[in-house]
Amino acid sequence: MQEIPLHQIDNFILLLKWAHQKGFAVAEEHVMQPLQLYFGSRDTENRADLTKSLEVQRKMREWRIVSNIYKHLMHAHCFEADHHPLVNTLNAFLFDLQGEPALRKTTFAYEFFKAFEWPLKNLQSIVSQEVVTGIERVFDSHDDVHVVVSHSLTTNQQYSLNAEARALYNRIELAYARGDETQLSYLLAQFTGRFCNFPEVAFRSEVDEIIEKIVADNAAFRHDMRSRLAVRLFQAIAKAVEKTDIKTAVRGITTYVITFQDDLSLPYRGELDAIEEKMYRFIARHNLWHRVKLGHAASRNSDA
Amino acid sequence: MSIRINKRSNDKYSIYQLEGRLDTAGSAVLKLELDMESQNPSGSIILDMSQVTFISSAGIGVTVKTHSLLKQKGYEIRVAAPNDEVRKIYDLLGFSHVIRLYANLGDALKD
Repeated sequence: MQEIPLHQIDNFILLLKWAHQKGFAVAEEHVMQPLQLYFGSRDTENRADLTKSLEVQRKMREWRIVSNIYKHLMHAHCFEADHHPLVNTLNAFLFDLQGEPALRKTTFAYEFFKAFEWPLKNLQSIVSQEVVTGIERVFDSHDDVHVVVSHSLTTNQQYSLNAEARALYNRIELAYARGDETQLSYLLAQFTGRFCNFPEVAFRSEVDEIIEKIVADNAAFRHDMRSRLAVRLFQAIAKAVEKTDIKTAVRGITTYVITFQDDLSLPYRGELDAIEEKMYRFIARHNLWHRVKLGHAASRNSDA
Repeated sequence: MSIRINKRSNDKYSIYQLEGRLDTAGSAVLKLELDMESQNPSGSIILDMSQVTFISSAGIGVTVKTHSLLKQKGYEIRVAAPNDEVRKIYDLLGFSHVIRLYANLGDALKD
């Protein structure tokens, strides 16, 4: 069975979180109804003991059985009048999928993502529209230009950032030594996303070296990691723009260009276009070009 | 269609006249053209951007990538006549130090 790509799981988790926060009506339409359609009718069996069984089978790493238990739990929850139990089960399932390649290859995992293929696309476009509209509102409400345009880290901040980078790098090294590609792609994307706005952070070049070594002989890993990273970078850029932290957003976009160059197939590419257009207009309107401009690091990196 | 592309060549340069937007959709069209050209280049490429109304990181990424491929073969990409905003976006993101920007097509051809 075809393995579900990790970036699809990441994206599902993001969208699920959003739908959950929006309340029952949104969750019902985009999360519960696709499963109701998949299962067809209500499950009338008593499933009270399934949660315990799930824990036991997870410990025994019986992933085919785990996948079946999730299937029954979702069947029971998707017809309930409250979306919370289903969202909790979905979250647990998606987190298990992130960590277990064997679970990602089960028939139910495949059918599950097939069932959500179109509903997730619809949800994605609604979320994207909301992000872009929110950013438009942010820019429209900032006529007096209270924007963040510089970042000078104090020595303490620099120290704690480097400590954070060291802790993450240690985990990356461990996952690399174990050959745990799932964990590795997650951690590498996390490192790059977290520190994309801090070029001076420690262990950056060591992390880049590991990425280069892996992608050289594993094209599938490369694509999956790049997609995960693209989602994280997009989130970092959107978050910075929401805070009118223009300099951070610019740095994120520069990192995006250096990392992905002409790869136009990545998730959220169109949304990034929309954000950039609004941001550049804002910069032009307030003539911030020089205030938010970066140093020359981009030219050095991309020439290398 | 967000971009329209006209190509002409002389013995030294391939000149692409672009009209429209270099967002993700427009850049995908340009990428197809530049990928073919950079596989077997006969000289440097000049992108006449006088009619380009917007460029996003997608467009910048495509030009930067092609530029690095051409450089390995001793050529380059030049951007001619970008409007003020396009030029400032290259500059803002730090890529005006990678790709040479010219005020007009004549200057790009002369250099």
